[in-house]
Amino acid sequence: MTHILNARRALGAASALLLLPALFTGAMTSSAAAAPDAAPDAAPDAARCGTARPITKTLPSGTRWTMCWRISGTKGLVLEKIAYQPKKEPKPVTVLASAALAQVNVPYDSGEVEYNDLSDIGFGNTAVDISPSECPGGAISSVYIPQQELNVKALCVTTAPHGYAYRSDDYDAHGNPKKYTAQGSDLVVFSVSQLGWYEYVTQWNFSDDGTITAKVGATGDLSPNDYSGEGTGWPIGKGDHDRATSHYHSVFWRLDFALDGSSKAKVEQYDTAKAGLGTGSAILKTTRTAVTKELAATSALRRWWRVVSTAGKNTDQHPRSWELVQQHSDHYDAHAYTSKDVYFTQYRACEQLASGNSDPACAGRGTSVDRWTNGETLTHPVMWVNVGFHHIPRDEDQTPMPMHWQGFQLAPRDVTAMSPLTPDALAGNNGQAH
Amino acid sequence: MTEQGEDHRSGKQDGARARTLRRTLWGAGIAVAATAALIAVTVPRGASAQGDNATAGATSTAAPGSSGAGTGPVTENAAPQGPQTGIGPLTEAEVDRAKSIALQEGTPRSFRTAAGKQGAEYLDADLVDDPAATAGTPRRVEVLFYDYGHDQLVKKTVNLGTGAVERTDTATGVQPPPSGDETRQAAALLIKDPLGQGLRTDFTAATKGQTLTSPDQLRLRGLSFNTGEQSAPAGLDKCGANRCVRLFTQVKNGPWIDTTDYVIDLSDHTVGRIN
Ligand SMILES: [Cu+2]
Repeated sequence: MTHILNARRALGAASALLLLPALFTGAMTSSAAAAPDAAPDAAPDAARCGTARPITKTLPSGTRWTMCWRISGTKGLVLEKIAYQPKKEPKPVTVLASAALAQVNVPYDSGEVEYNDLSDIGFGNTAVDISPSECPGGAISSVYIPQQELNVKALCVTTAPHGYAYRSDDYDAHGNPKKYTAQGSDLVVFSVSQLGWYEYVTQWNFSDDGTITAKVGATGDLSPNDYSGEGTGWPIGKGDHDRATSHYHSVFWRLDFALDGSSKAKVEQYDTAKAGLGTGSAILKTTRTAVTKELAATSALRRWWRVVSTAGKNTDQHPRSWELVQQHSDHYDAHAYTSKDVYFTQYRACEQLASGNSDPACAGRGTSVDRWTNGETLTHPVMWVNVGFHHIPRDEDQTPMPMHWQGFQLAPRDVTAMSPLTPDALAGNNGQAH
Repeated sequence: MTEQGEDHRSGKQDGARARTLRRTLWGAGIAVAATAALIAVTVPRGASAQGDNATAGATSTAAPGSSGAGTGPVTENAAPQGPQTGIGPLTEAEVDRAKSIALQEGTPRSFRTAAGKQGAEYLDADLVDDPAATAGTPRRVEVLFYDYGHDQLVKKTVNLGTGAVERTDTATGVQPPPSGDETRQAAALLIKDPLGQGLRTDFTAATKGQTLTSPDQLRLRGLSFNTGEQSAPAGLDKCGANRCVRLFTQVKNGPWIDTTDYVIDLSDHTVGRIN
């Protein structure tokens, strides 16, 4: 199954594949070779966010990312006006109007307790200081948190290597062997929230190949008070006595797209099914389903979605799009709103949290994303990505608990005619040789 | 102010002391209240604005081929101050101005704060989500209040450019996170309540004999509790329509005391238990 999925990715977005290890091992601590850092970026984007300082970075390969940021009391880190400018692109390509967490539910298997970390506590309300050692080579920005009535050093912006960008043994024009290879790098943006004994890192990696990785890392300590019986806990002390209670970290992200600057976008679902046997292998047929109305959808073998621009095409005249690349997820099937893997809803300003949404302007509409997915026509789609991690504690999870990550990626699909990292010598190899 | 988050936990002596404390007080908590338990985890604390005003972009200057991203100097940017335009963090001045604009209108006479005074309890302020916002867009802020007189959430959308309240929305049954003031009031109720016995006992043990009388002796984080959003025992079914709070509780500069089983109803000033 993995092999089949990988084969599909390799056709369109090989970059996503390369990033998978980084998602779960934490690229920040990688010992890979240095990505030479660019000088601090100056003027052109300075006014993009108004008076606020944008996050801007031109990565060593020439890809530039720009965005605005703020910290919301409930949602925590909010990234806005996210734009991608590959090396040869004359202007930044806007991708997202807004990207943020939309809920972190933590129900315990014992049935005794549940935490709704965004809606009941708030990731901004619990934002803590990031020290220089946690943000190596980066910039730490302070921000006023209204609920804490304090300035908190809440944002780290830095860069990190992510290993191979590509490798290819080839020949030059004179027939001599020539190896093309490069190391990739990421712009890394994160904040840290402390919810009781658990600590969460809300992180976004923006890669030089255009891939966006959203992930939440949980560390800190296991709940010191939640011990349980056989079947609902796992022994972490000596013998078979202290069974730390298993629990979920059920995380939602909300993505409001602004493809090529327009909120009008199309959503498509793709499914690939067996369609007989060919002479050398099975025939697999891929079909597209236009998602024109709000959708609550479940992951399936070889199923994926993309959000397609109505305002921009690449130089091959293919509409630009961003593909949701899912990682493993065990959705929490005890709540209606966590029982699906992805939701597409028509934009509403008052719909911000996937559950426990308390905005009075949404009164009467229900307080969770499953209620809002009720058949409206999608002209301004918002994507809600649900990623569940069922955490059965291990001995190793004890104090401080090693960071465990969960997340997803958005990979560019046809945003540029070739990869923005293609070496100049190969830039002419676009399409089948005629 | 801690330099490194790990420091508080890695000291061997501290760890041993804390573990002993945890075992001892866990026992005490169970004996007395069967719930409150002392937790041997301390955390880095404190926050302040400092640093220069360089770009928020990463500014590492590591040379190619040297030790790699993440080894250069770290830049620190101070929190933005004063009035702003466009899209970015709310400043303290903007939050204060948004609150005062929202309050200028006054509140109906029957509105009540958590303490029962005429008015509405201020909760939080956040920038309005506006996908069309540009660099020049006037700042619009949602200011949240809770009216304990009618148990309703009140949102005032304030335009910092015009100084006007653009709209007011109200709803019942929705409970955003408690404010710092509400959290302290909830803790005060728990401290005084018979169900606060375990907390008081654990506090005394953790502080070598001090008596817990005030929320100021604790470091607190409030959680709203809404039975419309999750399952709960029958005794707490008013929570959601009422404004209820749970607490993460820590002795100031000391260990956690687990109080998450207790639910404090700020609307009718009662304390209940989940388990
Ligand atoms: Cu966990």
